[in-house]
Amino acid sequence: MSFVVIDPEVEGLGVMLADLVRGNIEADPTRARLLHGLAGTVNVHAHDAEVDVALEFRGGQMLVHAKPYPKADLDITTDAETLMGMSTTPLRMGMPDVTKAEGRAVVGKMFRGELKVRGMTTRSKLLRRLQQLLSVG
Amino acid sequence: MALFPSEAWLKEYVDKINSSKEYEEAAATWEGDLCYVFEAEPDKGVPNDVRAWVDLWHGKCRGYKYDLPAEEGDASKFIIRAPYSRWKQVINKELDPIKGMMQGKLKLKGDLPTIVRYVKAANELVNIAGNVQTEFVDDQS
Repeated sequence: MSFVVIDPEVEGLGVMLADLVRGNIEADPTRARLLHGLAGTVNVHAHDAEVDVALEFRGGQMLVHAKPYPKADLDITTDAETLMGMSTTPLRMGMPDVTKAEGRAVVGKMFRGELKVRGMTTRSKLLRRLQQLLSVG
Repeated sequence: MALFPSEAWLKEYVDKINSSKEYEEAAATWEGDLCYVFEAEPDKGVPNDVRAWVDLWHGKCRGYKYDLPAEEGDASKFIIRAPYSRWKQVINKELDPIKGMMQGKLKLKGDLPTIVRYVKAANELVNIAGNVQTEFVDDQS
């Protein structure tokens, strides 16, 4: 079974997120465990690049869809550079590590509204797992 | 002024990579070759796909090849491909490469986690390309 399934019409950002998760699991197969028991939907928007992608977690897989959900469990909106930078942000328990400058920078962007994550309190497990799956740190 | 795409342009680009302190620092531990594919746009003076290969190693470029065969170029560790006019936008700094990849305008083949880890070095490679004095083949008088 493939851990990542991409809809045929997906390109750009969706392919990149899929490649990141796939590459991370290939490099460290234990990361596949992060998909186990994970269920939920995520919209990702890179507003300056004007691209959106939808992720769905179910059955131990991440499914990548081109069209965002009308109401996803998590909704992440930021610029392309911040989105890319989130993958290199050091994590602590799946969240940005505020003891490190890069982690504080991400949290600062959230306070300034440059990074908006709707659903982060109600679906914190989903957010933590997503960050761990995408992290290259 | 070097014509893009051409071997002279690639040589100028490689010389600038090898004299860049910023790139040397950002790519100090990078190991892997990279093939740029400038896809054909016959109406713009690029009748065939052109592959430009650079052997990047620990912050330097230790070799390059211009217009190498597809089978050789496609064996590179990383491949970035786009139509000629997209590359022109990148070199002119009209298209940010990260946004371009997210929009599907530039296509990357290779281990993305590695590229993301070295995103600063990748950005520096783009900045260097923008610093080459370039004349584009479709702008020639």
